[in-house]
Amino acid sequence: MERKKAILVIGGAAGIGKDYVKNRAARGDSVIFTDLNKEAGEALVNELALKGKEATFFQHDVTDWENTKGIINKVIKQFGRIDTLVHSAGITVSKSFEELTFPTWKKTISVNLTGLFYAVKAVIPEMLHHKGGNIIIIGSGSAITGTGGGVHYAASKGGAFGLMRAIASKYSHLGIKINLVAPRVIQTEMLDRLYPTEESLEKLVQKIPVRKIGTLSDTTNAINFLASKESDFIQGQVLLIDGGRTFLS
Amino acid sequence: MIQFDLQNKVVFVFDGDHQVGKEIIRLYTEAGAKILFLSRTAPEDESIFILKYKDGSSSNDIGPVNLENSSFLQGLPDLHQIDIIINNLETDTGKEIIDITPEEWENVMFINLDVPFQLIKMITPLMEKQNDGVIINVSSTSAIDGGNGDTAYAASKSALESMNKALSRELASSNIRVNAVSVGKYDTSDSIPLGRKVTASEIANIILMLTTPMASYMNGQTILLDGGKTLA
Repeated sequence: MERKKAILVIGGAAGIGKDYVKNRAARGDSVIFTDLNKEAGEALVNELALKGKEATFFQHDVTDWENTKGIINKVIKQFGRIDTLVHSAGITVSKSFEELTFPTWKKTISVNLTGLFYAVKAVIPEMLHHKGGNIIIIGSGSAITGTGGGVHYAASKGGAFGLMRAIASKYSHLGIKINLVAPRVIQTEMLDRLYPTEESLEKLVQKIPVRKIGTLSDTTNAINFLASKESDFIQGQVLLIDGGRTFLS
Repeated sequence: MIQFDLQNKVVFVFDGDHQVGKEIIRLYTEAGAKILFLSRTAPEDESIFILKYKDGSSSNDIGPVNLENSSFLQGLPDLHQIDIIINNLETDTGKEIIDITPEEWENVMFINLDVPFQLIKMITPLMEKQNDGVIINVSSTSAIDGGNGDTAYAASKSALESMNKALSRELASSNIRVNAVSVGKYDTSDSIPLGRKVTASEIANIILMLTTPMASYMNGQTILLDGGKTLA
């Protein structure tokens, strides 16, 4: 029998991360997830327990290196290793360049980019020790287009591209697989905030070549593919999950 | 070589200390532009900048740059006008992720992202008033291929390129063009189709061209200056 895989999802109590946590827990993997929102994290553990499924939750401030390192050490102690890291933690506050203040810029970079750096920095030694590991970053098409909430958000998401390529350039031959999923126009709370009315949403749909908003299953399917053996020759790539929005419209 | 006439233009160069910065200053001086540039007088602290001014052969110190507020911009010669921003600021760690400390990461993000962001934000209201301006961010092909594996440097550069794109969208309505030049900093000669590394003057030339009316329809682009390496 195949060993149970240990999957760590950072930012797993909401949106894309949460859907993936539910999906893997349903399939019986060892799922560990973190989130800043303790209530939401515990609620998800309870929700899964009601269905007889299990997941382990840690409250996590991704901008705190010691906190990140501590959680990853605990996970390794408890589960032996981390096979897959899915990094889904992120924030956005829509601001024009004119409105944007330095604290908002800094906070967005800290959570979305520095938080990612900490997580990857903490798991790489462990993955190298086991001569293998899979990292999947939830990025954003905003990095490519410069749209989606402002200069701060685009920069914070853009940073993940170079980070991924630097990891790939250094550790591909040592068994580290790393790719990035770049969702756009997926039905999440983040999208609801950017397009609050039905009218604004309908306008958006008209700009998407496939004429629909993506669902959380679309992103979970993509993550599952990149986490599977079937995609083992895919390395350092950006997989847009966007209904054709980025390059066709 | 085409001679550009940039008399009556004011160029603000972020970082005039290094080889490329010096070449940029030489080239724009030759073209007749007045130049403001940042210089580090305390090499042990990368966060302390002195603003300098150069007009033809005369140059003088203006004073330290305070990133907390734009007051240092008051009382500048020619403050009524800044036409071109060239962000050539950068630092790196030269290390792989395992060895980069959180402090080193923070320093790279500060120099390569935070300082350019703050300075550009302080200066763009002037450009908006002029309804004219050009911004160039100097990036690196590390954003595409990871370069030498310095995670902090590669991440800061891909972040800068995405910031560049977002800025180009936002500022276009004020007739401000924003482009980036991506240099193959860590490429070795034998991996480059042209068989040699780029020179400081070749980098400065492309920047100069992008800031003249010759490139007046170019916006939101990242120009690869890599001797054909990245897509080879």
